[in-house]
Amino acid sequence: MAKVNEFDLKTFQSEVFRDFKGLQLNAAFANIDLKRLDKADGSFSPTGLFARSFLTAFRWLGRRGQKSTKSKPGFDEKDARAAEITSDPKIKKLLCPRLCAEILPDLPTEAMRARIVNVVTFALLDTKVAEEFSIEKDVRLFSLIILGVWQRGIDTYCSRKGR
Amino acid sequence: MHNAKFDLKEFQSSVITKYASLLNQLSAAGVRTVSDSSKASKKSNAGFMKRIILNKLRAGHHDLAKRLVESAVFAERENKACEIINNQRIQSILCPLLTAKISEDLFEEAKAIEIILIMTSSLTSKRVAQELSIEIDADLFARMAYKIVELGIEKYCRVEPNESSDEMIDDFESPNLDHEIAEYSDAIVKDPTDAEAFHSRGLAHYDKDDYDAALSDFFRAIELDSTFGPAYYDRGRVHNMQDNSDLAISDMSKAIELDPEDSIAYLGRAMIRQYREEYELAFSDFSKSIELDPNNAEAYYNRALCYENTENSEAALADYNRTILIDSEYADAYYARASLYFRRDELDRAIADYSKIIDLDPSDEQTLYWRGVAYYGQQEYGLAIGDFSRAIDLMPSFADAICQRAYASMTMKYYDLAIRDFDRVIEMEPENCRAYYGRGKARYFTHDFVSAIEEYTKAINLDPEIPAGYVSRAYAYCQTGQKELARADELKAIELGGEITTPCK
Repeated sequence: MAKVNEFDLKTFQSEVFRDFKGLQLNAAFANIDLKRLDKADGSFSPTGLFARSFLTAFRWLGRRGQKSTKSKPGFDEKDARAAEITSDPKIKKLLCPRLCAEILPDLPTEAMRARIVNVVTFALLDTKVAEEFSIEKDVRLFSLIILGVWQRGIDTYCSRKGR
Repeated sequence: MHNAKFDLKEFQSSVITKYASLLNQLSAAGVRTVSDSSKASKKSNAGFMKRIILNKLRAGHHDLAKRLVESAVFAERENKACEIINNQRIQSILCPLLTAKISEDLFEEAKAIEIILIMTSSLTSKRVAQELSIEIDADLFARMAYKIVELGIEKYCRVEPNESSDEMIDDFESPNLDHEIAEYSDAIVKDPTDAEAFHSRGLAHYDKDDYDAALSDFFRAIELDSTFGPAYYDRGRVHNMQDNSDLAISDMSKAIELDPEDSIAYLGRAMIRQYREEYELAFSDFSKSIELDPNNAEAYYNRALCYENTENSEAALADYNRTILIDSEYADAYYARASLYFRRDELDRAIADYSKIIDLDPSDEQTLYWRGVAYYGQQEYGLAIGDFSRAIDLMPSFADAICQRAYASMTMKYYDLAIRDFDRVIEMEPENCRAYYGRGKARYFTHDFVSAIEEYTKAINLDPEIPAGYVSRAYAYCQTGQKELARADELKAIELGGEITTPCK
């Protein structure tokens, strides 16, 4: 019989998957390149005007997204903790072989997302690893870890060389 | 059907998007299980629905009519999706990949995505679409994925136990030869000079593989009637079975002398001569047999084999064609013709012949294997995996089929399945060099370079002349930074005729 507080890995992974997608979307909005907006500002062509209004709207969305995400309690702490975990060489050594094997460049984005969530959660929720690195079973923390790897790209994160 | 510029990745993305919207659609409609949607499908009798929709339109309920049309289309797509995933060939393509790749531990979204990846990568080639009548349509694939998710992989891929070949042989009702022998023995007791009775009893002994008893009866029949041609012919067959081909030819010749119109005796002698590699004499006898009986498929088939032995493949092909024209169910002729096409690299034709044999006998694991190899040669890896899987289901110890499926899976980047299959082959055949080499490749592709080196080394130890082993091990050494060892392997590979495309730097 299942225990009341038994950790449900699959549900946790689903939550991380959804949260990670949300974070990605917010990050995309937040990272609208201001240089592009400045360039559009300097143009008087109708296209430039269109681009200006479009990018302004996106910048607003970005700010809003960033604000709503960052307004969650402990965001900055979790972000810093995620960065610390992802940059740990032992964690890299643990994650990279699976990431390199699973995240193939010819996969559609959604499949890459699902696989990276699967690889990272499986590897870091292993009892020994979680204890050694004091990794909490926190959806947002995992989303930020995954986002950190994702934004760097597997090749860069794992220093993957082609041959 | 898709056009020449089909983009798999783009199609996979579309299917994933469709799948998500299908889930929303079903959830909005309150359909939670596959049984609910199946019930909806069953209700959608086309004629009945058409009448209801027309009635609603006439009554001015346009919105309702529109919703009903949508529902009817929905149900039709559902039925089509069910029909496709329940096709046995499609199951045999999908199931090995699904069961190997998708573990029960996978979370829901990932599971659905992996199912979509497997379906789209194995069922979207032009050939699959044509042979299995699958429309390359994102909505249809999304529904197929939904059905499998709902059903669960274990249930979808549950294999009904097959009757093994041995059991089938046991079930085969052999004629009651003992009873026949007893009856002829009674006849012989009543008339000990009855040459026919001795001959018939000899045939029953022959069918029971009791050649000594058969020979004795044929001798007696000839003693009683020295002009009894069939007795000479059958005694010749026994001599042949007992490796006395000189005596066999002598008896066949006597049968021909007694009846120069006996096409079967010519055929028998031709086959013995062919076995003795006396091809000129064999041709002459086959041709005479055909001249006497132009509708004897057996004679054409055997002459074709004779032509193949003398490397006259054109003449062999003509005779195989003729055999099949006379007897359209002559499986051996299809098999031999398919092998000939295969050797000439005419894989489409080989596949057509293998398919004919499989239609005649769906449990022919050898032909399934060879058709799989032909599909593999055409880079139709999904179809190849389907055939290898069916062959393996029929004969679980079929190491070649398991090994070949592993290579096909690896080409489709299903390394887990490949490694699992290579493990199986190595367990059955611990000295199978190809399996170690293949497992090395699978390890390499999963970035386990150290294990890859170990596997390649095992393959090289089993066959030190394998250039590919050194080439691949050189790459793996290079990846682990062992450049000296990599260079040594590169040199050895070149010495053996291998090719190094990217030397280790």
